[in-house]
Amino acid sequence: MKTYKDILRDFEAIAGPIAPHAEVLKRYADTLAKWDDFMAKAFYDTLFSYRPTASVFREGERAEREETLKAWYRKVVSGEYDEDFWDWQYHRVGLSHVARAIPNEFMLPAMSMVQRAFLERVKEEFPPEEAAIIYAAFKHITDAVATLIAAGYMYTYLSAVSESTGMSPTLIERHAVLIARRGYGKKG
Amino acid sequence: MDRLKAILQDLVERSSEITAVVLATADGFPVEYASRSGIDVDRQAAVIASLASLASRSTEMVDIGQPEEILVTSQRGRMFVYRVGSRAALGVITAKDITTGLILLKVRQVLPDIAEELEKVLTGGRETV
Repeated sequence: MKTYKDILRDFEAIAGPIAPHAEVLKRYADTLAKWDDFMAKAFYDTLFSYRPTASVFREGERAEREETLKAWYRKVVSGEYDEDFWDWQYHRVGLSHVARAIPNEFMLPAMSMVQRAFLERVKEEFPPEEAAIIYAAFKHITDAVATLIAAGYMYTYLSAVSESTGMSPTLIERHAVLIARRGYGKKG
Repeated sequence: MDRLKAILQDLVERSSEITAVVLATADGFPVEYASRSGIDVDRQAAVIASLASLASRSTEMVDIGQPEEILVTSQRGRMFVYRVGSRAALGVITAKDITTGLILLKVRQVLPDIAEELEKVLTGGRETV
């Protein structure tokens, strides 16, 4: 199964290198980091306004979760991405979604919402051309993070089935292919 | 007809209770098969490989070594699964009312030949079905 480094290598080969976008964010990091309250509020207002996503959280947990989100956001906009950063995104941030059973169909729209909130703010605070460059950088990095989380989710489930049944990941993939072939043309 | 196909075909023809025999790789791909009627060989190969894997993991977890035979009795038939080395599994599908001992004997007799032919297939690069 792929490691987070394999996944990142694929991401960069397909979506483009991360380093130039990291440089952009580094230049604006001080300003962008100050939006952490705004980002955390926008994020959790959205999640708590929809029962299925709100039910992921425990009673009275929001303040704690907001601090975690703010710390994540500040790291993302810092532009400083070493191995520890990506390892953290994959093994801590990503797998925490598995541990809480937060599926990709919740995570991906939530990341999309984070990107949209950032776009609104950056358009307010910067001239259009500069805003476009900053947003492109933020979107690229958060797309990479979303890719790691989504892939990590699938690989964790694949590992669970493989470890518990002894079926190799290739055999499980074979079942998936056969199911997908049967599903062609079916609705719902 | 190559030898592997002939062995499986012969097994089906000599035993009227056997409806299909499928040899699958451990990853669930069909290597060869013989049957009395049309079967979804891709699906059956994947299922046979899965049963072999699951049985292997289960016996390992209860510390009784590797499984030699797996027998599933269902409403309308029986399914025997044998590991063929570590890289393949043989599935034998039969009717419900059979003399189990006779089937076991017949399959066990040809297993070494199947294993030998399989090795040639896996090392010789022959296309699987």
